[in-house]
Amino acid sequence: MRAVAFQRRARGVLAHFIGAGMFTSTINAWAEDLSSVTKHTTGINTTSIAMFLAFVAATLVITWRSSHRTKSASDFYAAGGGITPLQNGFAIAGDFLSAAAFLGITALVYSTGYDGMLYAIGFLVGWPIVLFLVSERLRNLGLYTFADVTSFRLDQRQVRVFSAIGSLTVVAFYLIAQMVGAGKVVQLLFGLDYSIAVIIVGVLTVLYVTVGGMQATTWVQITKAGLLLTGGTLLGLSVLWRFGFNVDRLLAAAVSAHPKGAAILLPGGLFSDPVSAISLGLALIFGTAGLPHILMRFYTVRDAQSARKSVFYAGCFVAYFCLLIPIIGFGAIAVLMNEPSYLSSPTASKITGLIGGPNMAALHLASAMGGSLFFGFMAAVAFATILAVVAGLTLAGASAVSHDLYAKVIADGRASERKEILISKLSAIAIGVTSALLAMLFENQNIAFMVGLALAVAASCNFPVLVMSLYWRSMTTRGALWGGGIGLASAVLLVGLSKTVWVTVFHFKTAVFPYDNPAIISMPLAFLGIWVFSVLDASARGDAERAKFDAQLVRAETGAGRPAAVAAAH
Amino acid sequence: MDASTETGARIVANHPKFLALEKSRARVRWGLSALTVTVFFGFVLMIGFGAGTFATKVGDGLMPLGFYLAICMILFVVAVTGIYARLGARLYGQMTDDLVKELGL
Repeated sequence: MRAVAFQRRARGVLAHFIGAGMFTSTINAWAEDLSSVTKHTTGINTTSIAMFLAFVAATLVITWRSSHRTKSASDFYAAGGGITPLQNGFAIAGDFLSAAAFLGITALVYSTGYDGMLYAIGFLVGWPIVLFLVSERLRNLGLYTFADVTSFRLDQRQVRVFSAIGSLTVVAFYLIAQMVGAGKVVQLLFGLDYSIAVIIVGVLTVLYVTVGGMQATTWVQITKAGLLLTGGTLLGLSVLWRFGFNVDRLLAAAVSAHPKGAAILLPGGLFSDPVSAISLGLALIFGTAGLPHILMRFYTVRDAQSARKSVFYAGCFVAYFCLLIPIIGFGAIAVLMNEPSYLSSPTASKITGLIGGPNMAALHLASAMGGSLFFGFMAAVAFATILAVVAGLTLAGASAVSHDLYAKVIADGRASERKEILISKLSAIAIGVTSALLAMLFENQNIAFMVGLALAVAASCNFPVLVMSLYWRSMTTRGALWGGGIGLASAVLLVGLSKTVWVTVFHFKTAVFPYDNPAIISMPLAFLGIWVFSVLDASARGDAERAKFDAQLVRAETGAGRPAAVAAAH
Repeated sequence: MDASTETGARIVANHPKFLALEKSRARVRWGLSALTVTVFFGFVLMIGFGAGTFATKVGDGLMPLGFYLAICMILFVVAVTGIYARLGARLYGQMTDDLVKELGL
């Protein structure tokens, strides 16, 4: 039943999961503990393999069918705009509910109790902001990438190149973190070798993206989101069932089982320091509104109205998930901590000594509640989650290269649609290969900072440039480049000087920058930079850009005059 | 009216109906954004400065006040997105359609 392969040391398995560096010290402690864990039963769980193969077969059918409907650029980048709001809501929620979110936040509840709930809430609060400020105007102004929007009235070449750099930076860090996580999880779940796991993820996602484009990527995401929500619901219900649908009984059992006792019902270290808390909060909230693979989804629906509805649905799914996670997490505490058989050794810590580490809490719980069948199902869902998220990221990165860099800058808008799609597919392959290679390179590195950095860059570079170009008439290209550049540079620099990199990766004694998340400095700097350099910009180009704001405003508000994506002859 | 030219766009952007739509939408957009950010950071700062509140017992149950606050936070997010989506569908959709028709955009 617990045939979890544990071939290698599990050092660092957890690290990359709980992105923002807040928990890095705890994570490192876990990783240290884990490195002392000895080998466990090496075996292959046939149920999980069978279920995973069924999922892969289904996604390949989806991809093959999508390939017939993916001919024009609009089909490739935006599924021809034919996704319904409910479907898109599922897909957006799916993009957001990565394996990191599901396994990582459950692990956080398992280890710390209430703080895990707080982290989940931080993830949720980004959605209203995406809805209010970004979704509708983005849909009305752009076709495929968010650079379509920022370059509406600003200098095409410069702003496209800059936005592509912002997108690719975010995608790269996010992607590496996901790939390394994928390798580690698959290694634990299926007993496959790390490199083989990474190669499987790389090959499948490149296949989805190149053959089926956005259509396949979206449907893989929808399928996975449905599976994840179903699996999570079953897991939550089974926990409630076990405790007679009485939350007090569940919590009482958790409190008596957990080494920290009643402290798990109260806030711990996560938001206790106000400055760190605000910095993490800023990155979580505004980073969401700057993630290219999320922004891209608003182009897959018919109009701004549908974009708005899809965020509402996505928000509801994520909120539901936030309610589900504590039930699963506290359930894992109550059930697993009383069962020494889930620990790597009878004397191991109840928190870090869990076989495979706290990240496996949700899966062990599935095993405890429904045997190897349920374990197999949830393991397959976790792998499916990784595949779907990696595919979305790969497509977002490929579009930044082919649509922004190639079609609009290098070919100066004269590229044929066929050529643009071809470049996009080649980019997807290149991104897949590169990220798989990097994932192998970083196998034993501590990459906890990467997801945090991705969100910080999204919040400090992509978001300020996007939101200011949408709402501030006086912004000019100069302001966008300087402000966004300052945001990007300061976010990367400050993460480099923070504990997660300076101490953990470079092994210096103390961190130069005291907070794990740079957003509290880098985000205001970006806005300040945009403001200063736009106000100081007295060039004729700047004036022309300001004069075009009315045209942008009318289109953003009404959607009138949006160039229809060229439809291919089907 | 061709809103893609600079002059056309200026005329539309200064049309009383467009201004009314834009003003009303901006109020809702920025108002709800400010509310969301305030409520969330209020919640976060409450943890930093008044964690004791979170331990307050509620009735006979085991769940301290902090749990109810967290659940309220989640419901609040659903409520504000719901309100915005509803306003958009009920009110602004029609206003926008009328405007597009009237000005021949």
